[in-house]
Amino acid sequence: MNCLEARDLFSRYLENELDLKTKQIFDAHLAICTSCAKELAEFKEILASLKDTPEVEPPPYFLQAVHARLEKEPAFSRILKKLFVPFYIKIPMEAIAVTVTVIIVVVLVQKSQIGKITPIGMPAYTHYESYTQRTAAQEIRGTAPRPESTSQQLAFSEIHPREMVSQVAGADLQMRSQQQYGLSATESQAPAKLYSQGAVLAEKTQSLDYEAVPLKREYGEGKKEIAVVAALKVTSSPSFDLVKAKSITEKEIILKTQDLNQDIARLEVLLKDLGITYVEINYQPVKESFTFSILANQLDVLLSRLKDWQIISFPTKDTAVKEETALQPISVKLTLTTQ
Amino acid sequence: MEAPNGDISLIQQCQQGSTEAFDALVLKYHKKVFNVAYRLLNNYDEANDVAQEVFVRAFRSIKGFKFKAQIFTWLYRIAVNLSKNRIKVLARERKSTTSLDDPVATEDGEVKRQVAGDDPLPADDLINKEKRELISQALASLADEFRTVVVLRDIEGLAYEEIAAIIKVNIGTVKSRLHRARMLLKEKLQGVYR
Repeated sequence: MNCLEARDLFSRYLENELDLKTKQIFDAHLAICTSCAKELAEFKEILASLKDTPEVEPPPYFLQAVHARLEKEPAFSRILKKLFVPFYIKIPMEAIAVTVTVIIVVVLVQKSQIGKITPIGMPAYTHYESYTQRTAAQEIRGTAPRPESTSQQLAFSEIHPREMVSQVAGADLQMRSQQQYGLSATESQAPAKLYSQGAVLAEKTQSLDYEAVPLKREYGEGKKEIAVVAALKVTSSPSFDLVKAKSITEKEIILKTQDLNQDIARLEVLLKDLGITYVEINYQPVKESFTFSILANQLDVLLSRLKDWQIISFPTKDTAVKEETALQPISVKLTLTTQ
Repeated sequence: MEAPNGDISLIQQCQQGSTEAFDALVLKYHKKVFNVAYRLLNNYDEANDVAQEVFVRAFRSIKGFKFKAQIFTWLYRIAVNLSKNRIKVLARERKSTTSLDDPVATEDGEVKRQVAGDDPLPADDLINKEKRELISQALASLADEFRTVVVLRDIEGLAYEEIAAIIKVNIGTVKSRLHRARMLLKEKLQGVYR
């Protein structure tokens, strides 16, 4: 056995893992090799010191500190609550198929400066009527039942998404466009484009069929269930056609933030501006992420704002938007890490 | 580590939402978790942050704990991973080329935070303290995967199987990595040690 071989065996020797024969050869080598013997002695001493490393006492009130951390709500659920009151709505397919028309606005378009952000003329908001079916309404959870009323005209800006739903549930709803959106102002009556998951409403002159696109998500542990609903309908004029978006591409953007709270606040503002269509929280132990839909042509705005704020973003796909798909909804997934 | 049976009931209660059970779990393991983080990060405050975060993560995902591993393996794994991630962040922040560039936490700084053990003779104490500081520094200069196995085996005294489960490599790899790590430590301490 040479020195190199012997030194390779130090650990196994000290942990008594050498078979008898090898051990004998090893001992024999060490008996005659003072260099190796010295090395082994030093090796042993290091291990002994490591073993004697004192245990360090954690700070007092460790448990309380853990609880304090737990009590802080996860950042995303704060956003969620502010931007979108989670409500869980189930509309049974059969009910819709059978009868009629409803629906619910997948609203999450915030009453904010949408018009200022979208460079292309996004027409004024919608003008449509819808009414619900009783059973569908009953399925709606978490909303106070509203007395039946006729043709209530509601300013969109006054409606909180949740209320809007309950209104729709119980009543005829008529919504009209709001000047304050600063939307392309020429035709306040022009039919608007409503973006919901996978669906784009485009104007058409003939009357419509509707297509129900209920989207229900089930989540496992650690995820929140969000209302998803989108179905559409139309009754009278103007009439709309439901056109399903051909594809929704998902962009994943990883945001690295040094100051989570501050950057979350900025994101809230930005997302409000951009008009979130739905928000999904995906809580994973390592990172938090949420997904929302925006128009493809808003992606640049999003990215440039993020860069301005020096929240680094790493889009994983090419973000160049082709003209023809500019109005397509895309799903953006923001993954926030603090690293 | 001790028999896990007591833990099983504790974990089950945690999964059912018992805060008392969670508290008991924290109190039982926080010192060990803290020390692993401390030896990996070589910084008391960072270790505290990481250790707390370990239990926050544990709390949030306890429902998914499948009892396939022991709870402390799971906790240690989280601790090792979070420590590793934290080291990377710190390194980037300092734009340094070594992974732990901060002045190494010395025992002098920590002495009031440590458990007072039996006091050996002052002279011995000084020598040992100095040796331990040198070792800490040498340890801090090892690459993450080498430091981790030394901390888990030689400082924390875990069994090979436990280490293998924590860092998710096979036992053979643990042993060979450990030996290399020890030899690297020895090289760094060569001549300086005595």
